[in-house]
Amino acid sequence: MTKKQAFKSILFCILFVCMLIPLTYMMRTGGVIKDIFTGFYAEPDNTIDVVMIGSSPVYPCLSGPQMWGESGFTAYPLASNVQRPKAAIHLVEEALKTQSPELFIFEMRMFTYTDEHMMENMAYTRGVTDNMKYSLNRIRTINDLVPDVTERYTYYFDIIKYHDNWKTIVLPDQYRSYAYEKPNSMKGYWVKEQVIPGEAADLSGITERMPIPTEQEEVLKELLEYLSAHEIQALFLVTPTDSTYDEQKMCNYMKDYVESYGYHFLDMNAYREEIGIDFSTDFYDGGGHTNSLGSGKCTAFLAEYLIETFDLPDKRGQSAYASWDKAYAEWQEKTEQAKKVIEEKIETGNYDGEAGE
Amino acid sequence: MTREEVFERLNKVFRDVFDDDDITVTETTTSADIDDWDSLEHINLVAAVEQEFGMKFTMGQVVTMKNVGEMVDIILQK
Amino acid sequence: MAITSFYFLCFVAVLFAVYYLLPGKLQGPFLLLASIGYFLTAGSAYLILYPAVTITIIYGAALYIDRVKEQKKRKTVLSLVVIFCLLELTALKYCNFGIYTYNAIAMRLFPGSSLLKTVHAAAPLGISFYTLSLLGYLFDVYYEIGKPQKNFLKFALFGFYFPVIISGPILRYRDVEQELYAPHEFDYHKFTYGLQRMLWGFFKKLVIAERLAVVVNTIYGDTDTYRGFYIVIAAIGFAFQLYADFSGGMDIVIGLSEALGISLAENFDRPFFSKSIQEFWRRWHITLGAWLKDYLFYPLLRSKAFTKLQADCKKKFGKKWGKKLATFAAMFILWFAVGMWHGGAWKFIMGSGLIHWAYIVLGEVGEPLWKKLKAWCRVTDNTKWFTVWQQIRTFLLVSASFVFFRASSFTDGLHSYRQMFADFNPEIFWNGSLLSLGLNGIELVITVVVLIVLLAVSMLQEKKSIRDRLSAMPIGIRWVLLYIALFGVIFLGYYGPGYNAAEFIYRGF
Repeated sequence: MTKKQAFKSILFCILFVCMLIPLTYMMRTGGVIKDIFTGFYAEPDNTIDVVMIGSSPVYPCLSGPQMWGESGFTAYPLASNVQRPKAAIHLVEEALKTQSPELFIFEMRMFTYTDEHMMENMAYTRGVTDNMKYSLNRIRTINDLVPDVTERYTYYFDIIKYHDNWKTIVLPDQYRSYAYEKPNSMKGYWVKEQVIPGEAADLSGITERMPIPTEQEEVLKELLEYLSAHEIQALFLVTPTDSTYDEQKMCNYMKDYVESYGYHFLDMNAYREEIGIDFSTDFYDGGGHTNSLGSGKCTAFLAEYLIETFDLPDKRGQSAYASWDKAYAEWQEKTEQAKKVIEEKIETGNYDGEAGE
Repeated sequence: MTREEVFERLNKVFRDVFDDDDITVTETTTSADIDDWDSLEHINLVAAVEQEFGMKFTMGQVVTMKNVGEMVDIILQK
Repeated sequence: MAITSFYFLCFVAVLFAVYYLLPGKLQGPFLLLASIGYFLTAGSAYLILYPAVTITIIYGAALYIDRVKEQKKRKTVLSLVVIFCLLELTALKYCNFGIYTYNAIAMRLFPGSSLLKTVHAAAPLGISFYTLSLLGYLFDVYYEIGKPQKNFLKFALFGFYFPVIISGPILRYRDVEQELYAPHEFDYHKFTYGLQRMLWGFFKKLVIAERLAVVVNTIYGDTDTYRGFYIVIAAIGFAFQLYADFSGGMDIVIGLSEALGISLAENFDRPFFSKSIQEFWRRWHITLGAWLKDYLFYPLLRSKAFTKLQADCKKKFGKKWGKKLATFAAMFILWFAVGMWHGGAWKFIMGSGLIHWAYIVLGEVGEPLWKKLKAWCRVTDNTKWFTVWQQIRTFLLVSASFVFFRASSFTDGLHSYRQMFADFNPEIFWNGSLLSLGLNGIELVITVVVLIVLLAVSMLQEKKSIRDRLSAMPIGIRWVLLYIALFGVIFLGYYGPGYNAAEFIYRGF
C-alpha cells in the first residue's frame, strides 16, 4: 500500500467518524432528558454553582430559574428518569469537566430501589449513557451500568439503537443538537401544569431504620468516599413524596449513613408543614412528582436551606448571567400560567387522572 | 486425420444437432456462441461427436472441455 | 455469528489485520484456524466433528483413488464415500421428510396407527454446501480432472473455508486451489473492491431484504385476512426479498474473500433478467446448478441406464419424442435433486425443484401451441418488447414457485394459492390498505426507492462493473457515493436492539 493510499484510507475513516458523531447526536431520541443534557453542555464553563443529580422528581420540582431570580445562584439538573444510583459518580465527573460548582445535590429516591428493578427496562440506563457526549467517561459509565459485556457495543455505538430516528433529523430540536449542545431556555427545569390530587401517609412517627438494597449501599459508600477524597461539597435530599413506611425507613437509614461521613441530608418529607406542601394540589401524579405549584414551594424552601447551610454567591446583576435573567422571566410567566390552569382544574374538578394510575 | 478434416466433420455434426446449416465452428467456439447449446444439448452433441468419430470422451473431458479447439485436441489424441 | 452482526465485523477487521501482517506461509494456517473458530461459534462445539470427519474421509479417499489404478477399486471407494455423505445428509436433514411422508401415508391408510416421532438432529453449519464442495473435489480426482491435495492442512482449509460455509458459493477445488494456498500480499485495489462489495451486500440484506420481509411476513402470517392481491404482493415481494437476501449474503462473503485476495465463483448474474427458466437456473445459485450439471446430470445422461431408456423411448415414440421423453425423465431426477438439496420437505422438492421441471416440460411440450400464439399476437422474436415479455414471464413463473419455498409446507403453499383466488380486491392498491402491512407511508416509499436502486445497479452492471465505474470517478464524487451507501445502510438498515437478528434465509442449508 502506498503512502497516498494509506492517507486516503485514513482520511476516509476520519471523515466517516466526524460525520457519524454529530449524526448520532442528532438522532438520539428527542425529549425532556435530551433537552436537559444538551442544555447542560451548552452552558458556558464555570457558571453553574449547584449541579442537581438524580431522578425524575428533580427537574419538575427544583427550579434553577427560581433559585436564580430569588437568590442569585445558578442551579442546573443532570437528572434522568429512574436514574440508577451507579450513574451519579460518573455524572459528577462529567459535570466537573466544564463546571466547578460549589455544591452537588443528590436526589436519593432511586437508592431505595434494587438494580434488578431499575434494569427491567434498559431505557432508563440509556437515559444517562445515551445523553452523554462521547468521552472516556462515557465508556466508563457504560461499563459500570451495563453488566452484560456482549451488549455494551450497542451503547458504545448508540447509533445502533437510534438509527431508526433518521426521519426526525428535519426537526429543529434534533438537527440543532449536532454538537450535543443546545441552550435550554429554562435551564433544565420543566413546568408541569397537570394536577392529580392524592393523599400521603403521615410519616412523622416513622423513626426506624431499614437498610437500602446492598448494591445501592455499596454505591452510596463509593460515592461518599469519592466526594470526600476530592473534597467536593454535597447535599443529599429526598423531595416531598407520598413515600411508603418502608421507603421512609430507608430514608432514615440513608440519613444516618450520609451524616456519618459528615455530609448533610435533607429529608424534605420531614418539613412538609414548613414547605406548605399540599398533596391535593401540588402534584401532577397524585404524590410522586410535584407540579408547578408544588415546585414553587419546594424550591423556595430549598433555596433558603442552601443559603443558610452553604456558601453560595449572589451573582444577580452580572452581565455574564443574562440568560439566567431571561430564564427567570420565562419561569415567572410560565408559572403564572400554570398556576391559573391548575387552579381551574382544581375548581372544576377536571383533574388529569386518578392517583395511582 | 488432419485438423481441418476434423473441423469439417464437426461442422456437419453441429449443423445436424442444432438444426442450423449456417454453423461453422472454430478453435475458440464455445457454448456461448451457439444458441441452444445448453447443458442438455451439450450431452447430445458429445454423443453425436462420439458416434461420428467412433470414440468416447471421459467424464472428466465432458466436464472440462472449454471450447471446440479442445474438443478437437481430444479427438486427435484418440 | 450472523455475518451482518457487529461482532462479525469486528471478527473480520481483526482477521484482515492479522492476515496481512503475517508472512505468506502462515496466512493459510491462520485462515484455517479462523475458519474453525468461526464454525465453533455457530452452534455446539461438537458439531465440528461432522465436517472434520467428512474432510478426513474425502482427503484419504482422494489420495487412494489417485494412487490405485484398478477401476473397480476406485469406483467402490468413490461409491462408499458418496453413500456415506448421502446417509449423513439424510440422517441430519432428511429423516424428518421420511417420517412426515410415512406419517401422512399411515394416517390415510391406517387411521389410528401410531405415528413416528420426528427427530431433532442439529445439523452442522453449511453441511449442504461443504458436502458438495468436497464431493466435487473427489469426483474431479476420480475423473482425473485434478490432482489430489496431499497436504492435509491445506485440504482442511478448502473444507472449512469460512466465508462459504454459511450459504455458499459451492467451491470448485480446481478453481480455488491456486488462490487459496498462494501467499497474499496486501493489494489495495482488491481490498477496497472487496470492502465495497461487502457494503453493497449489507445494503441488499439490511435495507432491501429485511424491509421487504416486514410486508411479506405480515401477509403470509395471516393469509386468511390478507387474501387476493395481497398474496400477489407477497409472492412478488418475496422473490425480491429472497434475491436481495441470498445475493446480498453472497456479496458479503465474496467481497470478504476478495479482500483476502481469494476470488470465488459468482452465484448470481442478475437472474431476473433471464428470458427462460433454463436461463434462470444458469443465473440463480449458479454454483449449485453447475455442480449438479457436472456431477449428477452429465453422469446420468451418459449412464448405461439412461442410454437404454433413450433407445427404448425412441423405439416406442419415434426419434424426436423418444429423445424428449427420455430427457424429461433424466431432468425429473435432476430437478428432484435440486429440490431435495434445499430440504427434506415437499415444499422444497416442489417449489425449488419439480415445479421448474414442469415449467420446462410444458415449455417443450407446448411448443407448437406457443408458436401459434406468438403468430396470432403477431409477435416477433428478439424484439425489445418480446424480450421484456420473456423476462416478466420468467420472473412471474419463478415468483410463483417461490410461494412454496416460502410457505411452511407444501399444503400451506396450496392454501396461499387458494387464498389468492378467494378474493378479487384490487382496491387495496389505492384505499390505503398497503399502509397497514407493517411499513408506513415513508417506509413504503423507501422500499420502492431502494428496489429502483437495485434495478438501476443491475442494469448498469450489464455493461460495466459498478466498482470499475466508481474507480474512474473523481475522488470527491466517489467518496460521496460511498458515504451515501454507508450511511444508507446505517440509517435505513433493519438491525439493532428491537429487531430480530437478521438471519439469512439460506443459512439453514
